[in-house]
Amino acid sequence: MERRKALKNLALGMGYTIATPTLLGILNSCVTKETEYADWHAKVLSTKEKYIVTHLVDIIIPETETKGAVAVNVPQFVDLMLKDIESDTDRNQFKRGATLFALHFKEKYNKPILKGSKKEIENLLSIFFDIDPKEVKRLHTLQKQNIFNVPREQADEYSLYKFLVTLRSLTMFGFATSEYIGEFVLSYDPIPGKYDPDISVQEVGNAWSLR
Amino acid sequence: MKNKFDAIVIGTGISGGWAAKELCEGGLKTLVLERGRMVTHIKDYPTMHMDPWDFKHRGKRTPEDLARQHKQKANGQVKKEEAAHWFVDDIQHPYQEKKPFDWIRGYHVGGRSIMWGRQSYRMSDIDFNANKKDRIAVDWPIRYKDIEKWYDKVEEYIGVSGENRGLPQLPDGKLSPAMPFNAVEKEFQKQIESQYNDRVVMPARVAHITGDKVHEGRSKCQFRNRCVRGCPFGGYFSSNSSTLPAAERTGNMTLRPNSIVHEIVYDERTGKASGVRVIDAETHEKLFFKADIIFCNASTVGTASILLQSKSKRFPNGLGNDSGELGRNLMDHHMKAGAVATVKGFEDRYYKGRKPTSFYVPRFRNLDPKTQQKDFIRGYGFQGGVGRADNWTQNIPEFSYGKDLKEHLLQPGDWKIGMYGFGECLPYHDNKVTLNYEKLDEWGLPTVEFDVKFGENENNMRKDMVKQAVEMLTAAGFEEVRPVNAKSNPGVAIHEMGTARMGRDPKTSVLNQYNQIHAVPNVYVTDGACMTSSACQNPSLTYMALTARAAHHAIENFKKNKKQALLWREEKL
Ligand SMILES: Cc1cc2nc3c(=O)[nH]c(=O)nc-3n(C[C@H](O)[C@H](O)[C@H](O)COP(=O)(O)OP(=O)(O)OC[C@H]3O[C@@H](n4cnc5c(N)ncnc54)[C@H](O)[C@@H]3O)c2cc1C
Ligand code: SF4
Repeated sequence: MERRKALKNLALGMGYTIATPTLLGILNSCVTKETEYADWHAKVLSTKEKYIVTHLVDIIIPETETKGAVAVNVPQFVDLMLKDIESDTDRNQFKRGATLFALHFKEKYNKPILKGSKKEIENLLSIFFDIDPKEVKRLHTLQKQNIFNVPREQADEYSLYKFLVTLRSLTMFGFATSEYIGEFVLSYDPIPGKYDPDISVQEVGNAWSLR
Repeated sequence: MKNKFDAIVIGTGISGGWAAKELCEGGLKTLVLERGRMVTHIKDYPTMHMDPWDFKHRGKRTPEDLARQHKQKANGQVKKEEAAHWFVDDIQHPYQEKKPFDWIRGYHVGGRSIMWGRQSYRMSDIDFNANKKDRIAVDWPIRYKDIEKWYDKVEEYIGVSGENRGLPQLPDGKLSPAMPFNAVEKEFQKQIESQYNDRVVMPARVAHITGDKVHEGRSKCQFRNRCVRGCPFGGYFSSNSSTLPAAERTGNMTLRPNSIVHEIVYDERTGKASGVRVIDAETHEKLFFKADIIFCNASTVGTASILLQSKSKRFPNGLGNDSGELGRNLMDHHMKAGAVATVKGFEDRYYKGRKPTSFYVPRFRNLDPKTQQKDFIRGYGFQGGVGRADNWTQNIPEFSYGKDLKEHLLQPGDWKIGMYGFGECLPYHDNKVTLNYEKLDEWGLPTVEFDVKFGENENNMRKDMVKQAVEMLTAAGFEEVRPVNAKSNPGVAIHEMGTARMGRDPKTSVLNQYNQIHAVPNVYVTDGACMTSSACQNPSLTYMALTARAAHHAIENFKKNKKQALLWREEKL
């Protein structure tokens, strides 16, 4: 706890200049600790949803040598997008899906998801994501349907995947368009000055961050 | 404020900017009226330097904001925060549709010159002769030789980069160096030009500065591809970066934003227009400005609306509407038909810089007996795009997650290619805009009502666009070739034109060969309203050339008249 607090103060004090690898390493090592998600105030996610979302975001894009999605505030971003950008219908489906995910958890582990570990949540996600490609295709088709046309017996499946798929794509989007990833991990070049039409990927490294 | 000027220009978009520059440089004291807010080059481009993370929602817009632009959002730019402020609020600026029409526009100084795609192609005599040859509508009163030197002038002034290929259907221009092709564009060009002898693949011609030629107040394109936000370098042409500053430098321009022109006043005594009536958009104050010459550049539909509102005893159906053609023959291009593909084999190739354009395939249908089609007349050009996708926006089909997904997201994605036709639309008499006096806007002015639909020729042409695009991408050896034929309402190509067409006969057209209203020679219409046919080229370059040409005609006449008036006064003394 003491160490966490110290590092936090350090991070706040340094603002933008945290991009040196060693410091990043130190900072990263603390971000995914269990209580991290308690530090911010969610606008639309309930305590339980926030717990699920934070863990799933961390599982979808984990910390490696570079920051993971939690460290670049993707859970906060998901909360904001749900509040401002997603339609009422989509937000409700998302929440319904999260509830269903929690129910599945309870069924599997016989305890509330709030008491679940990251490993347990990851195991549950694997059941829904590591599936036959044909099944993936069917679920994508189901997702494209208007909710009002979804047959009653498929409603739960629809909501659950609405939640998981929306969360996955918001995680990718929020991560890739974050300042840290965009400026320091992807290749950042705001004013190229000229167009070089044919160079090798090695010369660039990671993908360009701007379109 | 003074209320008498030598000339008035209505609108500051692509054509109005040119009218302002030419008239001011010709020495005329010119009042430039613009219904929207002021936009000063660089100073008023709020998003020009913003990165994705600088936007609260990373560029996405809220449902509430989108609802205020429910028509504008037919254009993809409106769905993003970076440029949505250049498009009108549909609640404040409503219009009526008998049939679906997407009227996409911006009300501010610079008009759509800020957001345009900068594609710039000349029309050829194949186009100027087309109506006559097909016995459709009326003949253009001009030919390529009448406009050629004005194309030269405009291209040299605005800066157009591209390549000359000596094609009869796409005349060579005064171009600055083309933006070079990347590895896949080169491959596509090589494959198509070796397998087809009727078509070429060339770098798109775009209004960007690439060479060393000096353009006052502007600098070379820096390959940021953020043009639509307004460019701090003035790398592409807009009224704000180019023509309006030029007009300003003469000291002859008075620019008045927030000025909604709703009537051009006709003076029975002189047989000419005497001035324009204006409502101040903010204060709702009513104003009247006089001038010897009036240039109408409020854009095709805006201009039709002003002329239709300008009723008098002599012109009960709108100024210059002796023919009944005012508001009719509305055309656009039809688009969103073509194909997309994935390109394999270039995984180790990449590029530096964000090229704001890609390739163009000029028209290859119905150019001569050899290329004649049975199902449609006229033709289309393909505009393409090629680049490596972002892996995080691509819909990765499987539900991957974890380290592998993260690794994948950071790599350049697949090479993608897309090509879409821009097809010529015929001028149908029944396709029209009229005024609706029951549904008024905030200023008590009538709204416009669209009654426009595409015909069989357009629909048949679309089928060929899709078929040829699929064939060409397949011939090039690309994979996952998919046809695209999305709904394309009239208007969505944002090339609306034809509502006050040029022609030889006052009985069947509104404007003469110098863009003067036949019966009211001191009123010139040089925006898209003047177009007699639509060709398939992006039209703005032609509007600019016609505007420059008409402005010189107006200046000469103005000076002649001044001299005569002087002589006449001297005689009297
Ligand atoms: C996203 C986009 C991409 C495009 N891409 C291309 C392209 O690649 N190539 C191409 O050739 N064209 C392109 N276009 C079309 C091009 O922008 C138009 O053809 C061109 O701007 C038309 O010029 P204009 O002067 O007629 O009208 P505009 O540029 O629309 O300007 C009209 C001006 O008049 C003002 N106005 C309207 N009514 C009144 C009134 N009553 N009183 C006073 N002022 C008034 C408006 O506020 C506006 O400022 C594109 C357009 C858009 C939006
Ligand atoms: S691509 Fe060129 S013109 Fe467009 S914003 Fe960048 S520098 Fe300006």
